[in-house]
Amino acid sequence: MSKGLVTKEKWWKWLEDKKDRLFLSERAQKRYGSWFPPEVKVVKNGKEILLPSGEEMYRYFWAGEEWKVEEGEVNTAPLFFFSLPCEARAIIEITDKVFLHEPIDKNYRQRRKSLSLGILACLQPEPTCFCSLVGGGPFWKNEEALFLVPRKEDIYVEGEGELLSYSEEGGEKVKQEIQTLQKEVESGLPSPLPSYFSQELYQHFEDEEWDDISWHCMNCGACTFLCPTCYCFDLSIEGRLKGFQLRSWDSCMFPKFTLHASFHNPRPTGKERVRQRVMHKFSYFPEREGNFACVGCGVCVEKCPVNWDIREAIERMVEKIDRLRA
Amino acid sequence: MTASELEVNNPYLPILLPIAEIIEETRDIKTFRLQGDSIFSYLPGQFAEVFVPGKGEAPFSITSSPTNEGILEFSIKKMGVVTTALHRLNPGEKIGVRGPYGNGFPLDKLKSHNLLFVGGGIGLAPLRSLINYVLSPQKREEFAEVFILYGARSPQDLVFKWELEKWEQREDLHLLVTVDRGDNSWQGRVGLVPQVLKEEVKVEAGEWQSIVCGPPIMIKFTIKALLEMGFSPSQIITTLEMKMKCGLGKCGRCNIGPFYVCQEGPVFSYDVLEKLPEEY
Repeated sequence: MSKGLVTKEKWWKWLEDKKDRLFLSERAQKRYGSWFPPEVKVVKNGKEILLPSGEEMYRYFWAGEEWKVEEGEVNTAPLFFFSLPCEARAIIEITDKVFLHEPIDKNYRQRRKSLSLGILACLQPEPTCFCSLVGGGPFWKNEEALFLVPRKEDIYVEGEGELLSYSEEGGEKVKQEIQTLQKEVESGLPSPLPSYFSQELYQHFEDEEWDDISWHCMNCGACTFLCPTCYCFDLSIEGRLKGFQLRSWDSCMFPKFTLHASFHNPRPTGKERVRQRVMHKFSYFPEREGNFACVGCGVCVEKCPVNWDIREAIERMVEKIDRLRA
Repeated sequence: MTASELEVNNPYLPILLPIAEIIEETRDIKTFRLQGDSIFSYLPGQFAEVFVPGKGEAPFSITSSPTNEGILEFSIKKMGVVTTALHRLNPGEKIGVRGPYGNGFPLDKLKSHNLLFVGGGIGLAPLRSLINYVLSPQKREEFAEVFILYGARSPQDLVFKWELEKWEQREDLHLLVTVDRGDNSWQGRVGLVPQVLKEEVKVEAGEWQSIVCGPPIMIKFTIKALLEMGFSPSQIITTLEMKMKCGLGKCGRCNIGPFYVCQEGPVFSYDVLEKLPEEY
């Protein structure tokens, strides 16, 4: 891995032939929009690129004598996605683990293989952010992605690839400056959840606290659609003599998500559905994959129409668990 | 790219197979027999996603036994859009299948044991796969005694009557059939499955493994009865139903606690199940 400084001029030069293949997250755009050309496509998060809602999984058609099925096409042109650390983490530590593990989701893999990630350091965490609580941080990086800290006249870059050949050695001074900046940004952020949280939370599945926690959530599902890690989907058949299997985003907040054909529903009320959302992110996924399925971006907190706050749910369960452990 | 390469690559892509035969089991249940070279290999207790072109896709347990090579059977109750469309099909028409999915019955654990099958209604469908596997000439010696208790709401709701008759004639198994309510022509047993189980199935639990499938309420009371009869939780095996879409552990809806029914299930031993949240 190399490190260096890329001047504004050279940055624009590097971007020149990538203009029509650039994606930027909405939240990164707010902070770093001026570093990208007007052609950049702004997306809510990586899900829009890797798991586009309304994706064709395969086509079928009546061929006169019989039915035929054929695979849909996936665009495999190389793309670049620049986002904040939390949003990149949602891809690398959550959706990649779901869709690249056996049985591999072919469409996702094809898109993912042609997607390069750029992580833009988060220099102004918002009041709704809580990445440090769930194992991330404003300077979270990963070896497969470029890590960038845009400054006044240049960008500090870590990683591999073409962009690094445009960089100059920053020296000890720059290293110091970046370290100081990171310290500043990270100071006062909450410390990570205790390591026993996932397992202990599961022991509290039947806890009456869930009645209260879930009480004012309307189950509208806005949080799950905006969440960069929520990947649950629906498969449906669209078209009669000619059509396709459509994959669209779905939400565990909806009653029909688990409704059987017999009308039995294992998660009949908001309580079970809210519990499922919290449990999946903070207990089930960590049990299976080793990390939380929440990156603490706070989008769900920011956009919830009734100010339901997942941090509050977590805090209450942590308190309860700690009280019982003491 | 050839069709077979596509099948390997895209896990969502079904194989289209013609329906060889349709058997009317009851007024609302039909068995669909698919036949062909491209039928995938599967284990008793596994399931597949069945696709009706232009209508939809839904998961169904495979009711045929893998010992019956080149055959794939699904017994399907008319319930919603996909099953209604299936019921309208004729032999010769093609439907899609992808799979097999799920863990299947724990064959190694069952080997050399006495097996008690307890089925209710259409719940006999997944059990039938294992029953015919066990009863097949090539496997019969690997298992000891076989006891089948099967019940349905009424005589009209009994499925696989044609096969129950065949089982009845065999000397290497015991078969008890019961209905919740009889009718004028019914001469057989009347009584709820758990009740008949307790009253009429006299077995020394120690040497038996029980395999249970049926409507949730029947499973619940059957398990209770089995425990009272001295079966330990690890001697009770059941297969569960959950709403599913992908069958691949990705779409996110069929979990009970951290387990995906489509991956770690649908077959669960009760000692595992009793520790899971009751969210199924």
